[in-house]
Amino acid sequence: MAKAKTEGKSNKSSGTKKLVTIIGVLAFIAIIVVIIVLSIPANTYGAVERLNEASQSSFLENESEKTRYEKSETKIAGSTKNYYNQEVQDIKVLSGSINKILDYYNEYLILADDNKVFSKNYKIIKNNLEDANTYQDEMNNYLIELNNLNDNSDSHLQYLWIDFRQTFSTYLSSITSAIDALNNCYQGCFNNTFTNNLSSTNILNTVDDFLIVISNEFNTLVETDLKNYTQKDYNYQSHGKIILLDNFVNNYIVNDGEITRYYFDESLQTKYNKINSFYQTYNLTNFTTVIESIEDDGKISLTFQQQDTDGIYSTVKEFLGEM
Amino acid sequence: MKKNKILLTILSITMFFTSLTLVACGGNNEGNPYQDFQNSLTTYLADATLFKDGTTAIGSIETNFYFNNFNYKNSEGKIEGDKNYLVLNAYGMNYIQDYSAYLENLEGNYNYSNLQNSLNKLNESFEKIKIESKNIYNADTNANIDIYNGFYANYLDEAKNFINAVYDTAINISNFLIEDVNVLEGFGTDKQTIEQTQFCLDTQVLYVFDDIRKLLLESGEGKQFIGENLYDGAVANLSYFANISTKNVNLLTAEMADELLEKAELLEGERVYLNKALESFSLYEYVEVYESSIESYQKDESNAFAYYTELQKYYSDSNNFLYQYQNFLSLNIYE
Repeated sequence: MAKAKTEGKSNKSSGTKKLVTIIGVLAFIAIIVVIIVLSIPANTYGAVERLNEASQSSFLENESEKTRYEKSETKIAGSTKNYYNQEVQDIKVLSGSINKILDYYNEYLILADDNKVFSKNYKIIKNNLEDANTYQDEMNNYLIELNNLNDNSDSHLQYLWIDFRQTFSTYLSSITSAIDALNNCYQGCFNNTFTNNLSSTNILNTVDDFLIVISNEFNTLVETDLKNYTQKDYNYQSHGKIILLDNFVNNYIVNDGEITRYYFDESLQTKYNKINSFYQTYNLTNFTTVIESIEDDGKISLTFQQQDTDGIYSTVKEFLGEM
Repeated sequence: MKKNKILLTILSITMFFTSLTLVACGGNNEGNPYQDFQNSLTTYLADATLFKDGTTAIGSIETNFYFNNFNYKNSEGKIEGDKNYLVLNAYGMNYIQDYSAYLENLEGNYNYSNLQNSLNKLNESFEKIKIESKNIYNADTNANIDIYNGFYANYLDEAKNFINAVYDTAINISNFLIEDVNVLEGFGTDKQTIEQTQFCLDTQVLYVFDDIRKLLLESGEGKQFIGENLYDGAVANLSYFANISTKNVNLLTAEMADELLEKAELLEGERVYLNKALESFSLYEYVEVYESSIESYQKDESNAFAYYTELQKYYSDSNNFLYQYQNFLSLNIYE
């Protein structure tokens, strides 16, 4: 009896040991798997490839797309909906600016450090550029339909233009999100380089601010200019902002001298310290309220109550390219 | 009890191997390669065919390590070979000669293995170039161009390898002196010395020369691409830095020393991305295979344009970083 009891105890004890061993081994394997999974770098190269494609094929980058768009432009100009002309022309300008911005980031992304900032942003870049590409196809389909309109009904023309605008607005939203994420990578994935400095921070953040404002205004236009509405309901306000953005991109992105020379040019350091002091002085985190006040003639209408004794706001207005 | 014995045994073995590792990784002052460096340099200079006797100037750099018979033939006779090789080699060898001397009488425990390894490789490379140098020396001056230049091609290959080994050695010396010996301690403060300033600047120029070496001799495979923007920019910078490197240096203020260090760190930071571009972009293929068409290169390497842009920013654009850096040094640091 005693022996049976002992044997029973021994069996239980050996069974428990086996269970503990199995659990221990499983836990060890689980830890190894977690370590391996965490160690595998995120598939960030997809974002690089996508940006590469986007910068070469963004809206109105290729000639056939441009020709198609200009045909639509001519058709609208010859219709009773020619009050859309400025908007149509500005979309061309805006698309050109977007392409230059994507080109700029395309020169950097492949070299970026594959760190936490990259991991956090590469999917935003990739997914938004892919979405933008889909919307671009839809936009082109609307343009083809518009160009093929046989009837003299300007209503149909208006419907197609409004459909185009709605899709363009969504395209612009996606592009804006992608560019914002690209900016995050630029600032967060290049450690201690000549081209990641206070000037580049201010310039690229300002590009983001411009795009956010313009994108919001197109969203508003989508909501306010509906099918069968007339000119009296049409309130397009982005002309000045698009022109200033285009100038800004040419002056600071295409010609990136103020970024590349920053660390060797004290006058640039002074300039950007001044621009950067705007936020604290006027208790703002970005330039969007300033940009929102840009009028069609390129003038900035926003004023502040406090006096600009140090010339900070005037420096900012000059930086934004006020006409 | 049995369990305790097993644990004790494991502990003992672990401690034994740990101490072995510590001993292996730890420094010891034996094996200071100072004398080996001196012997090697003496051997190099003693070779009558490889280096010209005495001191020779190449541009503003004076050196005892001027490649002899560094020329090729064309229909007009012997033409001096690519000066870039001469300048790069001269500066690198001068650096080794000057700063290996710091190893003499060094006190403290140091790990000299990197220094010794790079010197060994340099010696191996020397043996190979010595042979090719003799071959071209022995080549009949009346031999037809193809024969002569056949020997020259081999000599050029080994010269390229030798220069690569020179820079590997020189950079190991600089790393050793900065990181292990801490020769720049106090630099940027009131305690800094003129010797530290000189060392800091010489080392900065060494790193820049190494950047140019990587483009010309590795990415460009040692070929001359005169008229090619990237090549011309790098060669121009080689000349600027060679020129300023021989100028006198004043004792800097602490603030200026700080600014120098800040710029040096930025260049070091930029170098990380430069090297990424250099790893993936072949200047040789760009010119020879793709006929200097970045669009063609882009068809095979989708990021060619991005790499090319980074290289241009560094070496050849109108505001290229090397030019701006040497301008800063020239205006603020050198006399």
